[in-house]
Amino acid sequence: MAGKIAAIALNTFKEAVRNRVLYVLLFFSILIMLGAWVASTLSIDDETKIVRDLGAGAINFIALLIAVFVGIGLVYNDLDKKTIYTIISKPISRWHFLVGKYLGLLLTIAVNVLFMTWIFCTVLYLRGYFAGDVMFEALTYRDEEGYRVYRGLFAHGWYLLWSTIKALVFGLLHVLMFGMEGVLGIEGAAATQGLFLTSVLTILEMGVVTAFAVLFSSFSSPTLSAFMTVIVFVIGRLNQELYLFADTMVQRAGGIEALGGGQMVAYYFSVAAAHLCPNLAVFNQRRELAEFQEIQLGLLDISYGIAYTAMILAIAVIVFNRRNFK
Amino acid sequence: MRQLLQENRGIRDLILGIAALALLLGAVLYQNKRLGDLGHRVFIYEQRINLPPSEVLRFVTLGYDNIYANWLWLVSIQAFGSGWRTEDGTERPIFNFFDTLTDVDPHFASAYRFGNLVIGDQRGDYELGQELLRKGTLLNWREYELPYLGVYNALWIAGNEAHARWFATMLRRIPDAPNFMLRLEEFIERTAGRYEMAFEYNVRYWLDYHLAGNEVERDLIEGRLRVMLDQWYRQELTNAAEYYLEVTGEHPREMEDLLEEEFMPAFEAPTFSNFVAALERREEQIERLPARREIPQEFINEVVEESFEFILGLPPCPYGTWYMIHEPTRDGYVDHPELFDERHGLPYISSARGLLDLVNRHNMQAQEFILDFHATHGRKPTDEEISHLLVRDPLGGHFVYDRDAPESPTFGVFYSTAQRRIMEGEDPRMGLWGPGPFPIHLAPRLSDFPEDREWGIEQGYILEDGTELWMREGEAGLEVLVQEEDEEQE
Repeated sequence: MAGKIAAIALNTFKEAVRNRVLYVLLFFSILIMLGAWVASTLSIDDETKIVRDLGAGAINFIALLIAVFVGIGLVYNDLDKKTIYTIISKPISRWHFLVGKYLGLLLTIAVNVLFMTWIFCTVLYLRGYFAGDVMFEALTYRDEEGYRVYRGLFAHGWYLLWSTIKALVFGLLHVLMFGMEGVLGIEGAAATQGLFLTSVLTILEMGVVTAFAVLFSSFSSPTLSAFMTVIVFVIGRLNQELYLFADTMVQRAGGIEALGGGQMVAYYFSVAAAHLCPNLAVFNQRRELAEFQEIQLGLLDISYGIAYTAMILAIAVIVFNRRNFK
Repeated sequence: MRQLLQENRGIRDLILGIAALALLLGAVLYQNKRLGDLGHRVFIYEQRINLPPSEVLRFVTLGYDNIYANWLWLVSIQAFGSGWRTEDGTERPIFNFFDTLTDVDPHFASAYRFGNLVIGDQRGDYELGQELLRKGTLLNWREYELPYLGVYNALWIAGNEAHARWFATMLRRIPDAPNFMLRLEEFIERTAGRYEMAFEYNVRYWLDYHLAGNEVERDLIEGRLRVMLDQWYRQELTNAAEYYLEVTGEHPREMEDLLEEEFMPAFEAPTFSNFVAALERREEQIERLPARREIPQEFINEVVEESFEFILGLPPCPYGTWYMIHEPTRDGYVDHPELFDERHGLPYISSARGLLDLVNRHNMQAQEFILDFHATHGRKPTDEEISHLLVRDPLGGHFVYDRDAPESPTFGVFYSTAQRRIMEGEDPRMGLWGPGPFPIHLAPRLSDFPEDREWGIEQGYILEDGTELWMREGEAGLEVLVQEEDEEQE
């Protein structure tokens, strides 16, 4: 059973990796991260906060786009191109197919998030290295006014290359060592503190969103799936505000009984949506990241995310099992 | 040609590529012209600061509110640099902008600081600036810079002690705040003239540092206690002198003038020796106090009460010397009060310690001048070039620059004749280096010693009728020595 799911997941991953949209999104994520660096130079204070905010936000947003735009076509494409017939004619259950597809996409998202984390760490390290290191000392000299000046254009280029390679290596170490490369005594490691855990939280959040994308994709068209997934994401991000909105409405009216017809509908819709939709705010600790506070990977939050995902996938399997492919 | 193009795909692509590049170049040139027409305008941000309510912004940013806050932050910096103009000319729209920004990201400490800078410091709306700082202080319980800035504004810009006290109280609750910030409550009370409160704070600080084994800070508090008591006593003497002036119509000439009960009634205040004695009596009790815990208020009250006494007559100078009326300063003050700083009472109420500090400070300024002069000109200054520093000193002598002193690494020696006499024991009146006794009447004059008298006549400090002047007419108007300032740097 696991082998079958793994085979489908791997194939889904290979298929997603061949999707050019993915590379366009990754390209934009790198642009945003470098843009964050440039934007931070416009600030008069808190430059690191701006870089970390924008970088972590870019990773999250690009991961969301991948989850939505790749996820919605996941099942539909197989149905549309009739490849589903060749798959289900083999000894594979429908739920194997669906869960395999989901895990394949989640793997794609995870790899992309970690790739973006690597690039982001590289940017953070690179920012620190422009302050100077031993190589910088060797490639520059002090002028009459005491400023450091490069020993020619070649020295400048060499230092840029050296710094980039160094930053890439340390950035990779951050990902491979689960964000604990600081134990190696790497200079500037403090700048990347908490980034890996924030990325893990992003993967968890996207796990929930992807489950919805797979669910909607199992019974509707890509456009409708994208629309509904985005709606769920919006409610998931705002369900605390929705609840507060409903509460304020009741308080202002002086009780539920005092609400008018339209208000009553809005109240019950808000309360129901706030309770039923996933609370995606529990996976958002980017503010803590920007302020160098400790990132909490709570067991309850992780369990909540996994359980919610399992529940949505179960619904998707039920819907998919009843679906007529003719 | 057509056939060639149809057959050879490479050439065809090359021509197409060149055509595309030419078109792009044309577009760039056209754009360059349009941009050039814009010139270098100065953009003034106007009406761009009316943001939607923060509730709406938080809603539409879908959890990316931090990024939006950063965007607003960068906009605010650009707006500030471009001369932020508001529709109605008031600071309220700018306040609303920062208010919204900090609603979107309540932990953006820089935004509170910058908002206060723009609204309070640059545009002068102190109240709105403080409101922003108050909000930041309440929402960021670990950020000590915001309440510190609040105290600074309240105390030094607005002179509002009530506001300063609120911020100082908040500051005390922040565990990471530096020690000097935690002591601001004492500073507020001291500058407000509420010396009883300031004394109590100091007693608490002293015990805190002692129990924490922090000897450096504890010694600092001892110094602070002396400063505070000195200010307190000077204030009492100033009150007496002002009453004397009111009754007699002239300033007192000698300290004895003030010591009559009519002018200087007994007052209740702590003395440094009483404070030390109170601590010594409780030595064992103090060692048993729990470190790192709040010291019982009753214990502090006991130490405070035992430090107080009724002071009748001249208060004991906490530096071990005596208070005096410095006659030359008094004369100068009577003629030109605008030249003196009266922050800590009447300037002519002085002490031997204060006069010595004044001389030392002048010596140091002169040494700095000589070193700078030598670095610039490669030689020592002449008497002419250093004449603005060769004035009379408050101890009854005058300043001399001995440029030929062979042993000096600082290009000659700058000294005061009176200070040298005191050091060599030739003038026993001052007794600055020993335990005293110190005379209450102290009127050091140039005419006391022949070498100073000759110099005084030559320089115009002593007139033909024997009158001595504290100041002389210089190129830059009346010259006056740096005034005594006992307020330590915070």
